[in-house]
Amino acid sequence: MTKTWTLTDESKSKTPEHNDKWIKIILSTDRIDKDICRSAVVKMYAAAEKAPPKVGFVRSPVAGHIAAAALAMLYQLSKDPLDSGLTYCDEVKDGILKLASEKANSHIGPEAAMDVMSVLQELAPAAPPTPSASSDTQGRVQEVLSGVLSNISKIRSGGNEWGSYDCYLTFVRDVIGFSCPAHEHYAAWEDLAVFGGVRWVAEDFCLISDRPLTLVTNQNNVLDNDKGPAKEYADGFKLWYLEGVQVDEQIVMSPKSQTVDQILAEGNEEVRRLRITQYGDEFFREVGAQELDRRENAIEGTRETLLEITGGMKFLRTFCPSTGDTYILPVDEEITTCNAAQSWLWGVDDASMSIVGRT
Amino acid sequence: MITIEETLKFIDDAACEVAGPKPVVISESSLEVGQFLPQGDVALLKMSEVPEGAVQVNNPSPKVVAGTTQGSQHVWDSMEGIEAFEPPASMKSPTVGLIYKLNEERTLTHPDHGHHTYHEGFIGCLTHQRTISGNAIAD
Repeated sequence: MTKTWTLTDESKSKTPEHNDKWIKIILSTDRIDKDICRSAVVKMYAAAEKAPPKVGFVRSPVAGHIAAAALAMLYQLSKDPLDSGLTYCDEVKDGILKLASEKANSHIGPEAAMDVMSVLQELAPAAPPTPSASSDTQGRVQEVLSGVLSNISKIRSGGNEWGSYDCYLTFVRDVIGFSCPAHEHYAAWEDLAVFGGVRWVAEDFCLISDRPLTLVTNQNNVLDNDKGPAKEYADGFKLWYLEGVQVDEQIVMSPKSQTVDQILAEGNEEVRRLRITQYGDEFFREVGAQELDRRENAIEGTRETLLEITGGMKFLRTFCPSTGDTYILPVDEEITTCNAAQSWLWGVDDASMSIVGRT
Repeated sequence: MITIEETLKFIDDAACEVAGPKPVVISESSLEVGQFLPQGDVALLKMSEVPEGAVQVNNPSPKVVAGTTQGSQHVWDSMEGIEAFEPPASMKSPTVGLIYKLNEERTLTHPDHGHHTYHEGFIGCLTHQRTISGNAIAD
């Protein structure tokens, strides 16, 4: 049966308030409510007809990522070691805890290491005594944990950070006034967005990260801070963003320490643009940029210059007609005109293909 | 000889005057087969039909390119009425994505670039702007 609803003027008038509510949740720096989260996790598992898991908390998503990988490995080994070559015992369990804690220490710092060790000790399944010590156990633990770490994001859910989905889902219920039985089961998920943070959901455990202590955005609500980290968590983990683009600390805090080679080797166009912006126009002087061609591109509403730098590399320098951001796009060294550079960039190799505009 | 200051100014002066993203409506007559209109570094190359050998994809993602960066957020407003196909082997390359067949009007959105609304019946192959390193897809 199809149910329909209509967007009335009254509903339209409520939309900005609804959006603001969820933007605040997404950008919240409030501490998560652990009691509500625990209760919501139990309800969510019950809705999925699953037994309640062990619930634990960490202070940052990276600590959560490491701890979740370790827990997933610990529970799997305790039930079925598959073809890991490991047998679950004290030695293996201690090895996983030690390695996870060391990883947290090297990626974040000592506070995160303590958090990870603490949550693993709380949530890890008991292990039988070690039958006989093996010299190669720790090497194998390291190998298996590396594999689990590279896949653990598959059980990650965004909590409040994925609140944009909840904004859509609750719009129909809260703004339109349409509800259905599925909303009862959804309520636990919604609580985990409103009161929780990023989480890792597995059969035996659910791990939830706290929110950042500080979060810096620009007028468009995208992460942007040219004076420090855009996100900072209580265990010391920091993330750096410019104009919504994730960058590293060097680009924000000491951009002049970048080398020309570093900038030219940057594979992401947005990050390369920000590297140059932060470095300054002297970048072009330092690379000995020479203009080979220029044109007004009336079709795309832009201007273009073809630059050659010392060593023969060539770049098309242009700007985005939507944002005004300028880019240097590496092109083939055989190219001699802006028109040929654009054709090369889009693989336009015959008269049957053409660009008719751009946004 | 043109100085580097003059070269930079030629681009920067025009870039300063950009008014912001403008949405585009692509009707049946807007594009010929083989033509395309980039949205940032992504475009849908108009095709006359879904080519032989293309394989339909179950539950295609509304997000048409991989990645988590702001630049990669080219997303269909809904997948209702959209069929997606893996291109045949002869078309595959790092710069070619899925082929989309729109059975109703749909909009490809992006947070920075103008939204592109394509007409019912449009068939297009996702194309990425090429990069120098192995022609790989830039995220």
